[in-house]
Amino acid sequence: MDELPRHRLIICAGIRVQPACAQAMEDFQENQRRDDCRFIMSEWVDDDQYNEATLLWIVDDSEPWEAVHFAMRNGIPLLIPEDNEPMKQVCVNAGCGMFYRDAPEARTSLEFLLTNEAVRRQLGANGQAYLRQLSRASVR
Amino acid sequence: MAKTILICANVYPPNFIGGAELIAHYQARLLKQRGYNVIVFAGDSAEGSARYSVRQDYYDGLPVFRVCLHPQDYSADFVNFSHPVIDAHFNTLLDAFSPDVVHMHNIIGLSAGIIHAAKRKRVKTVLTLHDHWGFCYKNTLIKKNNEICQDYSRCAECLPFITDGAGRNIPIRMRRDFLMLQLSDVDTFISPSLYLAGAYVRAGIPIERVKVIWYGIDVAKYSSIVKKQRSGKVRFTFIGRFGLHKGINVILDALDLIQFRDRVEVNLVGTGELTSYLQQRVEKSGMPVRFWGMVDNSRIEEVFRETDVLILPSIWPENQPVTITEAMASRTPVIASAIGGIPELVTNEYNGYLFSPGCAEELAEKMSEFVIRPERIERFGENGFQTIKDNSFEHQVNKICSIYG
Repeated sequence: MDELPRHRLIICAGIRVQPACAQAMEDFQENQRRDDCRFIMSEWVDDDQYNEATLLWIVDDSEPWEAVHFAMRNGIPLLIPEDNEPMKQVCVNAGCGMFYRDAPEARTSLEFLLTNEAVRRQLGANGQAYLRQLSRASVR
Repeated sequence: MAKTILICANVYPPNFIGGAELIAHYQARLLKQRGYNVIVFAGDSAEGSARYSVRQDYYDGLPVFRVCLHPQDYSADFVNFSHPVIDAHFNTLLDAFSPDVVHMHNIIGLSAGIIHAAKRKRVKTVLTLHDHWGFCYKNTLIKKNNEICQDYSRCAECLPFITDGAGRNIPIRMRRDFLMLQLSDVDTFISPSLYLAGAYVRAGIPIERVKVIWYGIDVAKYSSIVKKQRSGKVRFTFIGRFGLHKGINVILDALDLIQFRDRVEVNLVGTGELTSYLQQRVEKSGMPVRFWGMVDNSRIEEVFRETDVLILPSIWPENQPVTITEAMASRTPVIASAIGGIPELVTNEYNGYLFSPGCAEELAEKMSEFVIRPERIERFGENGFQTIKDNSFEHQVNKICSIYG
């Protein structure tokens, strides 16, 4: 079976898609002049598809813990709006992602994470390590 | 042991029947006759049940599991392509019947998640393409200005956002992204026309996975239709939805222009959002038009008995219109728009005429050709029959079975 061209999967989570995120998606497509990313809501995919994701993008100020836990457990870095304080704190404490203020910063962050594989992997690994650490702490 | 085939479609007879649903059903029926175990999983537009509840019935001897869908699920501006509840129902069926093949048709409204559900269980996945739903939320590719979309990544120009059950505004590109992800799990695509195969390849489907297999037709049924004698007038017929995308208004525009209006009759068969408009226009102008209303496909022979020439004036790129294959099998010539997969069936001045989509002048001219030269009705009709005669359902299903392996 021939393989389809590989697309980077960007999983989005939230109870609404903030206009800044929608704008960033559109700008990203225009700016990249290529179509190798897929933006998909977290609840549309099965776990095995989610596990293939390049990053998890929180697209509003909600707290989608289930999606975030899954991402951290599986080494998937996070992209988070700066005004989402609880998620931002997770991101800062774990060192597992990036946060942004507005649409241009969101787009730049996306581009950065998609073009710096080593950084992306490290952020994902940090998330996994943080969860392990938390787990050990709670066992004690 | 006989293979088990799970057929999936967003609508299934006896509910609303269009060409795609008919094809899905005839194929399922023939597979059963050949000894396959056939089960159908379908959307159900019947009112009165709880949304996404499942009921089972039998249709033509086939077990059909119907998921109750509400009008919103068929609405193009709604997230009508991912329903985890439906995916869960589908998984239950997969576990219960362990199909060898899942063969999908139009599944928008149902859930595209069923493709991955089948793939996860290592079931062979086959999808017959009927229109452009995989990359156009309207299916038709018609843009606001009636132009045909050429860049499938610019859905936002028509509709920036769609909504979901939670009231979220979802950027429209996420629809295409999700569907392309799901379609990547299809083992084989069947496209009835080269045109549609090409469109999906442009949208990102690898050409190696696409097989072109023409729709089958009940050649014996249609070829045995005996036409009622003409009474001096040429009887032109349109069959289909009365919608702008079908270009039905172009027929009336052509009637306004045609020189030999007293030597033509037009049958309009179907219904749709333009019905009142068309009726008022006909009433006002005294055009020689007969409205048949909806005619069930089981009675479509009655229409062809009184049809000399079929007209299909679509302004959207149709795939392989079943009305054209039916007309050809009944030795009826066709005048149709030169768009989409239609020119693969209709050869100009051989089995009919092609005209530029939306051009009433050209349509009037082609209609006049049959009035002036009525001997072409029989000759072109016979040529149409020669074009389609080997394309029976049996022939189509033979090819599909070779894909099932």
